Amino acid sequence: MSVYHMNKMKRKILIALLAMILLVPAGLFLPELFHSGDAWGEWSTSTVEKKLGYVPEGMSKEASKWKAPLPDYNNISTENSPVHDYVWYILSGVAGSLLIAGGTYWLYLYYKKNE
Amino acid sequence: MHIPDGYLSPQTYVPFYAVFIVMASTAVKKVKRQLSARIIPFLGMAAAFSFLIMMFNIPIPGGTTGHAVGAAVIALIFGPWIASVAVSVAIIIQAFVFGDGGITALGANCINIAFVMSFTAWGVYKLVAGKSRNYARINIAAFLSGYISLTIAAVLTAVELGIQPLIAASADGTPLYAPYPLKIAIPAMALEHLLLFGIVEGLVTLFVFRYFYANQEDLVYVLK
Repeated sequence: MSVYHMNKMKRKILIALLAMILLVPAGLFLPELFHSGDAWGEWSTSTVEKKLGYVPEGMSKEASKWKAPLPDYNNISTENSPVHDYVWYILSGVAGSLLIAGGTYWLYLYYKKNE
Repeated sequence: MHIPDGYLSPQTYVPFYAVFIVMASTAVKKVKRQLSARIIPFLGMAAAFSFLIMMFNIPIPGGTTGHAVGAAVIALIFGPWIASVAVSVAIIIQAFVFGDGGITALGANCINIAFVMSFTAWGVYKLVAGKSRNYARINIAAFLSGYISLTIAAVLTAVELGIQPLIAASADGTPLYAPYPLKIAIPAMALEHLLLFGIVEGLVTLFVFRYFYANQEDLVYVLK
């Protein structure tokens, strides 16, 4: 494949990924619109308690050991308004993509040096 | 499909971590041979694509939500080893930064969603289309690879969750971890993926695959 074609294609994919980042709020909006809940088997301990009437012992011990910096792609310190949720959801998409881009760039430099 | 912390007992997640470490180190060795500085940006884009597509939650009206993973089409274009690594990277970031999927369950989640799904997708494509260039056949193969691989990954997840009441219960039989037995977990996960989420993964696989087929055929792994 020519380098020219490859670069053109990479640019197109990058644009598509940026478009995806801007559209991620659809992933919050549509479930709200259709009154859909959590994914099956991904309930919080409070939801499990509502469903079963109790929280399994092991689950309550291990469920919240890890404190993620942006739990559920959101910022818990801000108020719980849809607009805030959408903004934080987009920012989460940006953060995840930047972490991947950073790692990829580091790998690229490493390979470039050794090629 | 991202199992949270507290759903799997240690007797489940420890072996899955062991399998994951073996598979991941094999994958890194395989990928190293396949990589070049020119291909690396595609690896990053694949991981970002998977990470982002998993943010698009698809609702079942009044029911649960689910999402596509993107692992199938990455496996078709770059091969199952690269897909396993790219999707694992997305899952690791989801777990540590966003609390989506557990840290203890990380091995199981990477095996289910990255490795099993990528290899199933590649296997289904090869089974249906082989080396064929028949237009209808490769399109059907691409759709089915996404549809079947996501469903298989979901059913595997359901099995891991469904065996918990059997292997980890207190003396009086109360579940200590994931509470629902196999006969509830498997139908719930299988049906929603067969009827909706699998179809979405199939369509995503088909459309992205067709784009690469039309524009950069020489790059596509399953056509080599």
